Amino acid sequence: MSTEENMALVQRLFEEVFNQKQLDRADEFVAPDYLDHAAVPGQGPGWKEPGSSAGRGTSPPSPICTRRLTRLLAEGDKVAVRFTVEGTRAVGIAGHPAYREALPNQ
Amino acid sequence: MSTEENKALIRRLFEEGLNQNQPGVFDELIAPDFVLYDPPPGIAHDRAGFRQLIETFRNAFPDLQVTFEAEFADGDYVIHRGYGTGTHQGEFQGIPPTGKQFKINFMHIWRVANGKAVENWVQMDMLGLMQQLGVVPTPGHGGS
Repeated sequence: MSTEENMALVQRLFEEVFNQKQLDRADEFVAPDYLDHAAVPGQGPGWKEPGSSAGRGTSPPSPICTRRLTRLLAEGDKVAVRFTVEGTRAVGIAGHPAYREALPNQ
Repeated sequence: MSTEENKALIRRLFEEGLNQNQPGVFDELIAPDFVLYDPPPGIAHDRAGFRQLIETFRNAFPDLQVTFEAEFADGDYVIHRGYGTGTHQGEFQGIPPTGKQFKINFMHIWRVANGKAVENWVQMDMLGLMQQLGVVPTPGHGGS
């Protein structure tokens, strides 16, 4: 795939899987041997692991989370995404209660 | 400048300016109208703010070192993934020295124009830093 195609794939992953909450389509974009290098303690490295960084935007603690892409950059097979996450923690997580207000983060 | 020259400029900025503690290189490699987009509270969004940010970290962690694990560029932009290490030997954000060592990951994006760094966006694992210093509990580990 070309660099442009790689960027398009990542952009579609964010829009169609994360923002449109079509988690059942993640296999179209993510390889079976995907590795999450940002796994938190106790979490496995796979895409479908509970709490994986890739799946956090669609997981139960943040069901209405939106990732707003501000820039895509790429060279070869590496793609960088700068984005802002906006959402509301609707249920408790890690022993902390739910919030009602939005929690923006970049 | 080519993308390879842009990469070399940012590598030099960190290798000489931070790892070798030669802050004078910041004024050589960073443009006067540089913009720092993600400074912590109390740090200005300009070149002086960047120098102050590095100085703040170096005062708290005198052995601070940054290692790049991945590097790529797209036009005027340079992207790095890496980690920083150090030992907490000075006050940091009101926290007295703990003597603890840390290793935290970061990612940053720089834009280079006319041979100078002109914009920066950075995210680093500040929660991980606070957890390793023992001032924020780690879920499931009962804190420090």
